[in-house]
Amino acid sequence: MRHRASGSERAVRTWLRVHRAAGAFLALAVAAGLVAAVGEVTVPVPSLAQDDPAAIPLGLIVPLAASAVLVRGAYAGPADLEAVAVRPARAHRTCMIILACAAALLAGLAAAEAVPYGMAAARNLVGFTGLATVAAMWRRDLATAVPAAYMIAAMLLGAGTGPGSWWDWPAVTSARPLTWAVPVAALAFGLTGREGRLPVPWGPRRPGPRVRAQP
Amino acid sequence: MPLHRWLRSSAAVAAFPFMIAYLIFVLGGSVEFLEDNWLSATVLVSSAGVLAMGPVCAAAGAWEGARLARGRIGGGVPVRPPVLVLAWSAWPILGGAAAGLLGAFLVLAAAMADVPGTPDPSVLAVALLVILAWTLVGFAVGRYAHPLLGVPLLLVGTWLWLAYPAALETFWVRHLTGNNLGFCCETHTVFHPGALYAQAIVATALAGAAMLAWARGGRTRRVWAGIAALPLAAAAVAIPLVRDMGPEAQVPRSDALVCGEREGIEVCLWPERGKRLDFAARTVVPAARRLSAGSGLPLPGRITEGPADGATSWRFAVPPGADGDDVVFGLATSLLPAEPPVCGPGWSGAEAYRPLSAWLALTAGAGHDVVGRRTGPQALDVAQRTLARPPTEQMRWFRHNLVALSRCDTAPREVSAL
Repeated sequence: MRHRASGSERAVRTWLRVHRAAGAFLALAVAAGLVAAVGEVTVPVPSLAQDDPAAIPLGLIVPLAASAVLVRGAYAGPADLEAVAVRPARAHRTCMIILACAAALLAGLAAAEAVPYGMAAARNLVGFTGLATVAAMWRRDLATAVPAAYMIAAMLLGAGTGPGSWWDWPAVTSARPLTWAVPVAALAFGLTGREGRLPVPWGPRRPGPRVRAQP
Repeated sequence: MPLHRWLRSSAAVAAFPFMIAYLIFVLGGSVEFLEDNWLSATVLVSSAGVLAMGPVCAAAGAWEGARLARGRIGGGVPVRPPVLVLAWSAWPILGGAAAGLLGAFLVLAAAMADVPGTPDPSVLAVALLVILAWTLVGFAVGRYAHPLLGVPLLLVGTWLWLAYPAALETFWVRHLTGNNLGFCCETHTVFHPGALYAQAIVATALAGAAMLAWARGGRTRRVWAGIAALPLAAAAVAIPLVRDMGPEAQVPRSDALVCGEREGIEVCLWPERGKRLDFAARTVVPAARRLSAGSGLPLPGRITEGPADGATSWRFAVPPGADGDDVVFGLATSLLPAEPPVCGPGWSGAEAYRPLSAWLALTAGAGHDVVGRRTGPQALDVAQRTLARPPTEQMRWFRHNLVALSRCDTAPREVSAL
């Protein structure tokens, strides 16, 4: 007997189609394959920290493309309608991003022995996605430009400084805990922060104080 | 629309600081490696410009292209041709890139103040063409891709295309990108014309395909086939031009030299240094006579900045600002082999290089200060001890150590050990 989808199921399927979930997870799979196949190939990058160009493995760069596809899908769809929808559209988006990041982490952990930069690539995916979600609080259409610019800046300024510090994580090949601080914090902040409200001086003005109804 | 309002709305305003910061960053560490000619400065600026501005202009183009697409500029019955619409959005980006390049040239002009010559227009034109091509590719991608995809992919993709080939052992790929690694050329070499043609062909094809995609994309399969065929055809033409090239894009210079004769010896300089011909002849001809007498080598018929065989013609250089001692030192050391022999580990011949340089330079008449500064006190000491010996012993020491420099089975020796 053919299973008949319930209303919620159909809604989730529609949401997944509108938000290009299949494309996002396909991009993740392709990125994982690329990290495994050519992740160790290095790109020479001019570096402020040393005279010779720093060698950055492709495995640290590839996650940016997967993250861009993921963020494009997660933030697709009519934002205004989703903001007033009866269905928990934002929770769906949060779930999609968390699932993608968790899948990347599991893949990184599972292949930690065989793929040298697997965990660093997973960390970069989390970080790039996190930065994009934070940037989306300000402007959705610019969200992925921010992690791209951050990655290049970190590679130029931080690459070649040894084990790396908390801020140049996109260029750090090891996956030591300090390099996870910014990616995890950015993702947590981006997924839980208020939509359209970036708490910076140049962000949109907040509404005035609420007036309590008098009893 | 008022110009300032048009500029304010352009992505170029956000992209310009990034371009300039990256340009300063790339240029900053490279100025010290400049050769004493303007071609080297042109390659440095154009290379830094392409690496710094190509990706940023492509990303800005993707943003502007997407903006125009979202505004449905091409929809309905357009009153302006697509090329004109694109040109209005592209010029602030390209203007920013041109201003950045101009600024870089002005900075380098200060460093090159004493160097005669002018920037090489063909290298500069190809760099601008590469930046233009990637900007147009950005516009074309932006027309079809959301900026969430187009901007980061163009920024990082273009940057990878420009930077990554330097890491490949297949050298010809790097000569197609337009990022010439910041270095070319020494004064006696020029930029490989094949590489320049190849870069121009690839950039023109990319620009053409991008324009086709922008103006007529999505209409018929034939248009898409044309868009795909252009870069493929360009690759088919450009790759044979660079396939046999090594890691660097320099080839020997074949310009006519400016020559003069003194005491039966012809002295030749590159044309841009022709004003110093008298000084050069007065300096190197007596030095060559002293060298010939001291080393036993036959006097050459020609002393030149151009190609020389080391027997009938000797090589020297008169770089800007060089004094007589510098020129004599260059002439003397040009008699030593330019490249070490291919030997395994443990080759000791290299130890002879500095003492021989010092001895040759002193024999040619260079000052002790210059020789000591360039070869080090130990080599100067060895050379002075050798000069204190009879001429026949000096010649024997010179010949033995010259052989040690060019063979793997001969160890250098002190003059007292011969």
